Amino acid sequence: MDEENTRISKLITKYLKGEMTDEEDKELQDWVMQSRENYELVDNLTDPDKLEEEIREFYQSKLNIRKKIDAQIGNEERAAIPEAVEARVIRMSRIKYRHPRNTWIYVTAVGVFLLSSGAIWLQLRRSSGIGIAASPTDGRSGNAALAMSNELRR
Amino acid sequence: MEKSSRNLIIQFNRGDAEALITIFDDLYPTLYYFIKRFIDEREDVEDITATIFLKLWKLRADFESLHDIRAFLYATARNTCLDLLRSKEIMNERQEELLHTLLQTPVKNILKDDVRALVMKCIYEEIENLPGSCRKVFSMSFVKGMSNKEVAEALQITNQSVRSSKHRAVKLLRIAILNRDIIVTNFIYCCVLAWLS
Repeated sequence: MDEENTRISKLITKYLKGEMTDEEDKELQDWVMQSRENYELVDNLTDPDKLEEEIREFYQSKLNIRKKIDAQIGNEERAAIPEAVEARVIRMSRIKYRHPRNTWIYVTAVGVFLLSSGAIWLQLRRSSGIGIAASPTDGRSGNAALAMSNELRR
Repeated sequence: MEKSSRNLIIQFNRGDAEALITIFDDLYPTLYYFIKRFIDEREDVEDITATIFLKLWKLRADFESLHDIRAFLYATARNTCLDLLRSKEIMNERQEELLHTLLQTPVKNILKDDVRALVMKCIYEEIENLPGSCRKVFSMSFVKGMSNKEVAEALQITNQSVRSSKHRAVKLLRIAILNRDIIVTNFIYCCVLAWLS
């Protein structure tokens, strides 16, 4: 049980850092599927807004507790510096569970972009290319193709 | 490591407040989440946690290892939570369930941390490892909710360096997965293309 807790928390942390492998991703998914509690826990810890609130509360409480302890043991000067931090960090980046890893997103995005641009280009060539090929000096058909591609781009 | 924790205990036994703070920083995250599981009110959680550490401080001469300290903190936390739950005249269903869980949990299991506590401890360590200047900026803007301008004035630095400190922490923390907007933009783009062809 304890080992499981340690393992799952490691997986979630890896996810947050974007260091998760596919096998680990599957492992966490399987665990999430096991119960509603598991799902809610992972959702709470990976949703950016909830996580941000969690961190904020954690640090504010820590500060309050430190103040209480310091006041009691006559150590007020130490309470002056809160050991806390920002997680607006997290608001800037968007974390949402079930996103594939970083690199692949970019690779896929670029790939899809290139493929679809290629497809469009071929399409354009097929529909208006003949005119251009037949009379390369004919400015009008060239303009027509340009106008058409402008239309498409819109 | 072994030696340094030995030294820490010796300093703690002697009444070094610095040692107490080190122990607090180390054990606070998981203890806090342990108590939070049973107590709803945030102020109660804070009071209980502070009281427990103060009890530890009073008995400081009696501990021989960090493990002993941890066991003491958790056992005291458990009893305090039990007392507080029992003292409530009206308990809601969830609290009754919690009381039950607390009574059922074998003492040896008390030291086991739950997933939330472990994850938060890890994030907390990342944050603590940020370089000093970065950390200060983030502590001010995040915990205290100060604006960039206020932070810049308080630290006597420029607005720009406040922003770059934040940016640096984002990179260092690496608690960033990806920008969701990129996907959305690409998705729309692909849809348009698909529709056109």
